[in-house]
Amino acid sequence: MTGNDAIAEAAIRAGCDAYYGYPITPQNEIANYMARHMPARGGVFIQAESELAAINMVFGTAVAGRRAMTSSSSPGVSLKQEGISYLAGAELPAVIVNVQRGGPGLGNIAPSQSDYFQAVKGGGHGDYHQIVLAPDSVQEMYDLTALAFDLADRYRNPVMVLADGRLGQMMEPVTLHEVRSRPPPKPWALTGARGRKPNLIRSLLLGEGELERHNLRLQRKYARISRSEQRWEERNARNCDVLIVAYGTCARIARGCAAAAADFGLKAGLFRPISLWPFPSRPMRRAASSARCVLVIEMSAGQMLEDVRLAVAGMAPVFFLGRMGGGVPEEGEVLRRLRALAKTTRRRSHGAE
Amino acid sequence: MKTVLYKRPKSLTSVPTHYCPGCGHGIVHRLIAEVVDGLDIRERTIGIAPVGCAVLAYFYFNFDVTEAAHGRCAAVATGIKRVLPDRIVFSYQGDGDLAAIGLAETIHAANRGENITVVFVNNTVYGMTGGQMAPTTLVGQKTSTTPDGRDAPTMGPPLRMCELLNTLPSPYHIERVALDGPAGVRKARNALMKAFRAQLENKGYSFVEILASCPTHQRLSPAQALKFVGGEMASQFPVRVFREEGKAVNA
Amino acid sequence: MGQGDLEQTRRLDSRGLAGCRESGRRPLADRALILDGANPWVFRWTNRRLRPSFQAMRCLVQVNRQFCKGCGLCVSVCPKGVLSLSKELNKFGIHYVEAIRPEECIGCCRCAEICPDAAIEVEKEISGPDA
Repeated sequence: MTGNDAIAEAAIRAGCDAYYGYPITPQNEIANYMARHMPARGGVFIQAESELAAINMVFGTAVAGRRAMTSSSSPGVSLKQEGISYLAGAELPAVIVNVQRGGPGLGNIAPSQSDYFQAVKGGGHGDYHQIVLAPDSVQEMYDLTALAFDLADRYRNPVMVLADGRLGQMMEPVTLHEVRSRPPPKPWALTGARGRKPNLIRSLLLGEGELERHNLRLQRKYARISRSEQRWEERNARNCDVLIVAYGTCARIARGCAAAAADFGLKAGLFRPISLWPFPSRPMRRAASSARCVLVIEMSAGQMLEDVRLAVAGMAPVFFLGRMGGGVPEEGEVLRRLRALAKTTRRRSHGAE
Repeated sequence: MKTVLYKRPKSLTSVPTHYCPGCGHGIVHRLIAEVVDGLDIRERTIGIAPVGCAVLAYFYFNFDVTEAAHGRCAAVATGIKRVLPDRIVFSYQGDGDLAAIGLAETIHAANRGENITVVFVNNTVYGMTGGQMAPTTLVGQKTSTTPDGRDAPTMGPPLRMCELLNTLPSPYHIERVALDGPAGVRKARNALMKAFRAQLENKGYSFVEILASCPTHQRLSPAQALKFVGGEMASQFPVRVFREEGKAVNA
Repeated sequence: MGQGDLEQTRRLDSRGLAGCRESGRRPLADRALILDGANPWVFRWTNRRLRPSFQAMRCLVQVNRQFCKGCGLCVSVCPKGVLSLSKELNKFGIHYVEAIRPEECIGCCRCAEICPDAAIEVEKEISGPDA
């Protein structure tokens, strides 16, 4: 299955009631899959008039207490930012998929990771967070999308699946695990005030101190999420010469390069964040504490790099290898960099002795 | 033997509204509440409040209401109605919400023939933000962003939403009414009743445009504003039925 | 009172009083007798016997002074001059509307129709032996 199709299939199996989307490369396959399969399996499919309309239809379905998803790619996700802020402010569950492409502006249709800031640091206005999950394989495109619906309902929060064009287009074998997801009861939803007081969903709080109290509540929720929902993968991360930190497509490349690096005697480990928010800071610091240096590989000008620097907090020097505008790091350039780093760190440690 | 001729509707809460004295929104809220009471659908009704003066509409209605981002009521209504098709879903929007920022969502929800009811309160100005020009501001009308009056060559003439939507095949009911006096209010109630009933009977998309006063930003007294609605506004926005039972009605 | 004594009849609106009923034998017009411009009396014919049935209709218009914003629309649409802005203030500091000539109310409900604050309620009371 392709990555895009896996996302769509996972959503359907997770009980997604409605999908609203708008065409944009490289994620059109998600909408096409949904158009074919959703109505047949009892769900709603609408090709909306814009990404803006789509996120607001998601808002409506979430208000009604049902599971909804939308997908897009970078420029379209920019349009959704207002809607995501509203979802977060009104505490509504929703799943948003961003299959990243080169930017800024119209960019190109090649893969990138340059929407990290937009996804993790806000994108929309106000003090909010969406949970951000970063798959690195078609299997994870499936598993993490199903998980996204669960997390969204559990915390009444938007969840983003942050992939890239390469993951969306690639084809790999997938095991379609049974999704045991059951939506929790939603007494807050708008279903018609029968036998209860009318419900109200809003994010406008004009009363004295009301909005600040609401923000404090949201921050406490985010703290709870931070404690419980950090996800990451470590491979040979202890006592390595270079700890590579990468996610998504870059992690796949890093895995291969780390194996190849052993050939010239370099012990390269991999720390792969799977949840970009909440960011697995403490485990990363632990791993970095025994590494001689850290190399962050990203398809961007260095966005996750900033969070890695914060997490590592000086435990080890942090280096960066990035490609922008749709460029994808090649094994050759990564290995050259690893070799160079290996020389530097050995020289340093020799100097220290 | 006592007969009640007129009573405050149950679907209105007991919260005094924040609207200005003589505001058309107050009348429309009351009419919607009366229609919801009359059709006995209070427990099935879900309203979508706009951004604008009516942003706090949810405090005044005694049924489920949600906020929506500015202009997106039609999309939110679509998202609700598609998953809860047996609930009565209506959006309540002003000039900016429906005809400016939300124009695309408005037209496409109408074109898809969503089985919702859209209530459009047209008072020719943006009230909440201080009386700026709206898509429906009349040529020559002075507002805070048209201090010398709306100039058609540079700003375009007012948009006529009923006429625009009437070019689409899907809508079932399109009507414009004017709150220019008790008779106009009664006609507005009838129009809303038809619109909500259309949704109840799964007939399709219904749209009611209500010409209303904004004494504050139309810069008139409440009684003068009623005359403005019935006079200048009604000349620009003809009061009539455009689409009835799915068929176009000629002028 | 006989037919000859009937004064000018006045047709009340559809929410008003029941008129006289035509009997099978003696066709009669609806009649209502107006006294003092206040309480109309109605004659109802039953069993071909004239049985005076005195019914009084009173309309009661009530303005909730806490909802009222003193916009004056009701005052401007009332055909009988029942309502007027009070010199008193409600708790929001507004000169609310009150019924200064309540006995003139004919229950047309124009005030209630135009009120933006749903502050007006109108009742009709018919009293008398046949009420």
